[in-house]
Amino acid sequence: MRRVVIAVALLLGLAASAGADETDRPAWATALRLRGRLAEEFAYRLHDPGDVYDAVFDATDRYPANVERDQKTDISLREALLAVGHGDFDARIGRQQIVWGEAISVFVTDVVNPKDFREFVLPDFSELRIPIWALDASYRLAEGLSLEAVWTPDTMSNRLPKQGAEFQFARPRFRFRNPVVRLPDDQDEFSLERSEGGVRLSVLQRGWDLSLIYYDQADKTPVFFARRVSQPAGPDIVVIEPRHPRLHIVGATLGKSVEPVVVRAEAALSIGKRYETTDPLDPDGVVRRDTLDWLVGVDYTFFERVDTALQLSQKVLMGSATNLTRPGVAAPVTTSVALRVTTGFFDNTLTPTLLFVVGVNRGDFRLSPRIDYLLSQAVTLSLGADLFEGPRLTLYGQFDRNDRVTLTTTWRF
Amino acid sequence: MSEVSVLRLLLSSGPRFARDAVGPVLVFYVGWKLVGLTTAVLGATTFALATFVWERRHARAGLGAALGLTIALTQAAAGFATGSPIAYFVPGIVANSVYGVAFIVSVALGRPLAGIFAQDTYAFPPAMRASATFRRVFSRVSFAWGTYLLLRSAVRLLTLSWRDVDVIVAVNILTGVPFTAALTTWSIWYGVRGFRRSDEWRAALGVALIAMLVLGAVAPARADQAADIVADADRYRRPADSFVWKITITSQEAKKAPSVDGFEVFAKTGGRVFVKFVAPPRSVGRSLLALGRDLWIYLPDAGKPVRIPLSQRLVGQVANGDIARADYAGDYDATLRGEEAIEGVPCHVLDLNAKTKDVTYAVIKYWVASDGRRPVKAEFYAGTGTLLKTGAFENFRDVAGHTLATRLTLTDAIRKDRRSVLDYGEVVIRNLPDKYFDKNYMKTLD
Repeated sequence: MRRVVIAVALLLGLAASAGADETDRPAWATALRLRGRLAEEFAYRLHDPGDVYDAVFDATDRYPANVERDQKTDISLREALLAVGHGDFDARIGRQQIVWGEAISVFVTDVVNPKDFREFVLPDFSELRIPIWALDASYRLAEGLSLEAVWTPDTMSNRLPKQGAEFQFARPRFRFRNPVVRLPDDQDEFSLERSEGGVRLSVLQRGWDLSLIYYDQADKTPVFFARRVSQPAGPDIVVIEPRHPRLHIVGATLGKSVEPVVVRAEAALSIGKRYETTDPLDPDGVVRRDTLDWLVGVDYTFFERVDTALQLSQKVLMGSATNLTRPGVAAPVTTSVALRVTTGFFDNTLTPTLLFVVGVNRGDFRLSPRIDYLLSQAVTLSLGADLFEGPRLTLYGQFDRNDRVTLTTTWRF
Repeated sequence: MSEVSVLRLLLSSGPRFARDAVGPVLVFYVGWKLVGLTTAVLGATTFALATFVWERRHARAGLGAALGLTIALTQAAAGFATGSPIAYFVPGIVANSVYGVAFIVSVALGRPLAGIFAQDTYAFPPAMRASATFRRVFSRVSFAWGTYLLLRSAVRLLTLSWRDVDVIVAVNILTGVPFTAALTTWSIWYGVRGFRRSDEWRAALGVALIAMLVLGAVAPARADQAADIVADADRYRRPADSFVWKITITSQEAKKAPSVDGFEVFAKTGGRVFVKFVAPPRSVGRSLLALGRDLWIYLPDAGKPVRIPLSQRLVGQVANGDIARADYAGDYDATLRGEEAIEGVPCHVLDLNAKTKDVTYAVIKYWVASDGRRPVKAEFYAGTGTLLKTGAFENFRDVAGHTLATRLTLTDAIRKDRRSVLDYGEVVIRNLPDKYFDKNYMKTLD
């Protein structure tokens, strides 16, 4: 265990739980989280800045300055929107998270918001999603049939960990014999010209929950294109340029309760997806591989107490995976299996959870046990661990030396 | 049980036992031989999963299949984690040993495990389950199974040391199919014989058969009356066709401080219910949508509606369906069993059997006041016949022009000190827009 994170909020939470009125929200809390309705069809909402301060950077000096600058403080609005409606038409305008899909804890069709991967995928998914300014409109065409359209000029890309960060992604070392110039990622965060959008058609028929999606966006993860620039004197320079190629995502989701089992499935084909390659003969160091991500999962509660979710997912490349360098893309077909088991004791005051995700191709895995203890109606103490094993260039194996134990206090108000 | 024969029970349950015992192993072996470890593990897991779903779809508890699935999942994890087909078999052996010990310990505790499995094969009435004969017969059966499982585990463990998958599979099948079949046959034969020969049940079984014949003749007329009674009682639990109702649930366990949860329930005809969580603070932002028997929960952390089963626990002793479904007449077939006074109130006693498996409880025993047909009391049972909890309908008040039960107290069947009180408060009767009952609208209403 290399890192022990003890949340400063523990003390604050304990103090707060001792004095907090658990039924009524304190006035200052209400001020932080504004929401209400001006009329039946006109609502507003403004609340919750995300993580504000990470004490680990003051508690230790083991992180480089660029990581500290990137991760020590982070103040942003999680939500600021107006919701208006008229009859069967509804629209939400503002900063928001737009979540598509049926499955939990995966991003197969959850494609609208960029993600914050600075701590890999360990935080809650609501924290992983970066809110964007967008227009989300929906229209009920008939009972059980609705059409949703999303448009955003907020073309922000995924936030990735800086060099030296705890969860910096492993990359194979490129060995260029020539001098290398790395260009910055100058993708605009706001661009009408490169705005993104898509539609979702949702159908609910006889308990079958089906949706079809199409979304047009720039790849949220930069792809590093290489080109050689001739020099009048001396060797060519290799210029590495991060770009965000356009993706057309076509997908479908399915959900069905076959009491007491719930079945979910998702699939998304990313057309135009590109990956870096180590093939020295490739002219730009990048190859196109349209990619199909799909999953199927079942949920079941054993003995009316133990909630179990099992998910099988695959990433299928339309072409060879030889020389591709991205962790998690191990072969033309990369398979993973996830199992989550949760139960509750003492009227759900004590809730242990176990998450086990294994990459089938190379046996890398993540094991995350966690126990939540409900200290009061508003305060929860959590003790958890994230353990990784596997070869270095695999999705979980890259963090083999980053196992961690966490102790967290959550105070909801 | 008079009309139950050993042969019939064997024919109905024997193939299922054999399937659960060797099915996953055979699928694994074929997959491993033909393709490789990954296919073998996925195939065996899929087989166990399909078996389990099949059992549940046929309204059986599927304990054998559930255990098979649990083992298959553990084996899959071991197989994937180690990449070794030998390691794949280890969890099965460990689980067998644990089951063997559990069978023997259950005898010592006076609650024989074989009795629980037997309910998977035959629906024993509650009185029969509580009898000394039941305990005696199934204690012996449990002991036999416990001994067999421990011996089987020891043999299989020895075989592992040869590290030859062909041998391991052969020994698995040889120590599984014949012995399981023989022991299953003996268990059913011994169980039926035990009851037939017992002083306690020999006479009663004859009377029960006569009662079944008599009741069968008068059943249709009584069924109509029973359905009317249940429909009338439902009206005390639903104020109008479209309304908003505030509900507070106070859950208490032993001497611990009670926890209080608040909900705002939006309901409309057609079994459409939207439940908004309003307290405590940690629950604010959550909501629940029921469209008939389809149920979704919206969690702010997930940011989207997520499918869940009706039977899942909402809070305390309250299941999702306790709030989201109030339509006993629509969900259950009612049979009038007789009359009984509850605390001096003469009541009809009804058995409600679920029309489909997609409901919260498989069986409800329902007491409805003979005069006025108010609901008085209910006992809620699982598909296995196990009593889960009891409910008492109280505090009848005139609300918005209707007489309604404004309190429902649910008490755990085993731990009587665990209870949840549902208090129905302010009601607003208004025509709610249909879009309130669209899952895509949940994020707007949260």
